[in-house]
Amino acid sequence: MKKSLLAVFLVVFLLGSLPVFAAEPIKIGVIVDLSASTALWGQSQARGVEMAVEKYNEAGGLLGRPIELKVYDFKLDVQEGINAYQRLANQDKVSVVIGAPVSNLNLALAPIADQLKVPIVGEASDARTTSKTPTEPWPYMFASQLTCVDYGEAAASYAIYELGAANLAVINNKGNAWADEIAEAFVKYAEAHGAKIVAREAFNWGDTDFRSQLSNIQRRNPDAILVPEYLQEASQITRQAREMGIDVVILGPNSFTPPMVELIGDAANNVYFVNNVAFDLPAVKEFTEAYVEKYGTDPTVNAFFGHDNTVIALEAIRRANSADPKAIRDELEKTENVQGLIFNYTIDPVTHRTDGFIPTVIKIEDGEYITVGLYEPVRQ
Amino acid sequence: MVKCLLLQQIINGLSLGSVYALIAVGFALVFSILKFSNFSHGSVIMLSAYLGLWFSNNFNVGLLPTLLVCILGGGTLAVIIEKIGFKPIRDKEGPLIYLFVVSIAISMFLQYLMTALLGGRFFIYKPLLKTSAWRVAGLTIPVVNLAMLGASVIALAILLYVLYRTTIGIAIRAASTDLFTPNLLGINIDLVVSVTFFISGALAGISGLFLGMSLNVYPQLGGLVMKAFIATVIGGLGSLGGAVIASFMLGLLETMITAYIGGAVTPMVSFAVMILFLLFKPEGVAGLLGLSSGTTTQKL
Repeated sequence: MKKSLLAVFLVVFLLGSLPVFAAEPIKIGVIVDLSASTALWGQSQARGVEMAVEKYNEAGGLLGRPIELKVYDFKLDVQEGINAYQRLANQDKVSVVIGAPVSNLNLALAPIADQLKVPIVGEASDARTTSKTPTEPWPYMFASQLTCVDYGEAAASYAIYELGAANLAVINNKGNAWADEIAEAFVKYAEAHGAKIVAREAFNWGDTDFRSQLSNIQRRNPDAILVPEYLQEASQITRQAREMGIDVVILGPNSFTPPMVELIGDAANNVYFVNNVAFDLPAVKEFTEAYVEKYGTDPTVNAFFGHDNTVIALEAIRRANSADPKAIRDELEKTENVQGLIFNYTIDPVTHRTDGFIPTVIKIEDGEYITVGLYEPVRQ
Repeated sequence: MVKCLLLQQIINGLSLGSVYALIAVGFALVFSILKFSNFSHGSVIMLSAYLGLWFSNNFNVGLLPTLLVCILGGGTLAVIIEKIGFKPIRDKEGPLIYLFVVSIAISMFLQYLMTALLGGRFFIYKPLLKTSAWRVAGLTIPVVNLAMLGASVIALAILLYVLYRTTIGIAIRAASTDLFTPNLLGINIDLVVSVTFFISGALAGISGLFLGMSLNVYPQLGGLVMKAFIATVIGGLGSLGGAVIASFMLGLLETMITAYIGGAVTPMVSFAVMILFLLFKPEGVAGLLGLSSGTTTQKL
């Protein structure tokens, strides 16, 4: 009796699993930085992708086929990233690519994706990574999150209307498209809403000492300073500013998320930043716990986007009922109400970005991250 | 406040210069003997920063024991790198360019090794100094950079003593004009080279500790060696005094350009100055001031 049960079980098991494991896998490409200065984000993102794919594979894969990941490290080097994309499209023949949260790379990839025709679902916030012109998208580029303009405007609006700032200063890396776009939008919004930009300072890739720029800013006595930078630069600028006795509000984008406080401690106090994730969402909390259990470290926000971008891509494959990149692209454009960890995603076919994504403002006080709430910039 | 700005910018420049100077001296020392720019210096800095971090956090000790460990660790590491990477090329009397290329390869290898082992994570030193900056009369002086300045001065003083008052120092200076003749005279060149690398590595160890304390520890920490490279070129390749003076010049130049013209053009200016020196005054600052360099007289 037992033996026959086992035999039945085996047959059912084999029949059930055969279509999955005998079938050609659906290949998904991932381009992330695993070894340069944004490696912490890249690793977190890759793990987010991995966790999403595991969930699908455990549920029997997609279209009766298992999902296989091809992960490439682009070392924060645009040329390496282009090589990786070409390899994914031409040799690995992936169906879709999950892109890195680095605007410089995605700006370069947009026209190439138009030729090689494998869609990229990314999280770069420079609007030009998905929009060829304001009315026409890059056909193969998609991004789930806020644009630089959203970040810059929300930060400026919050400083002016909620914190009462009249004089503002900006310091950013002129070589970082993302930082420069946020800075531009911030300045434009602030000037249109009656605030004054009293200092605008620049630096370059690889700089570690920002005291010269900060001395200039200090002399102008601003009410708040925008630091739209990646983790390492943002942490050093904030720390050096505090050392110099610049105690005013520092404004920033999502790079002020953990581990910022861990890196610079008290210096991170009196920071208000615009974020793309509300950390108190139940799905986000649950995912964070699973992540910590699996990898032993805290995720950065990129893990959530890595997960959600993968879900958006895989759901498009399901709807297309095909692993053909062109068919997936058409479906990506029609993405509607796909539930991720952070948001219920609907892609705007004109901008190729999430429709109606509202930023969250988070404050750092006494070394704690305090969610102030969803915040939409004041429009006049 | 407005009057103070220039003074503050001068302090900023000197403080940046002291960071460059400490790295540049170690860099110039190896150049003076083996006549190549040793980019693996950056990875000794980076690895020393990890070593100091591990030591101070695990054994819960203060600044001085950690500094000692970094000095010994950095020195040992540099000697190991020399034995594995450079000695075989020297023994075969391979071209200088091989040493240069190997030094870059080693620095990349070690950077990626640390990334592979520990990931791109940032590690943080527990506070080893009571305060990170002094504020005097509206001016800010970063303490870590001041400590680097102090360390450069002390290290330089010891270095000069060793070079001019000890037998091994005389041997090092002899080797710095010509690596092969002292060998004929019975001087143990391998020992001279090892001691040179040890001193250079010890300086890298000091840099690693202080850089790690102020910038946190991550695999690309050694990247500042590029600035030291510029300083050694402007200083006159191989001249220790020239490297120090050029480091402060570079720190001041970068700070002033950033303050009064704009940070976007600063690196352009630094490299332009480097090119101008190579074209019109290849002996560098050392040549301008008549400091001994002993290297650039040697034609390629």
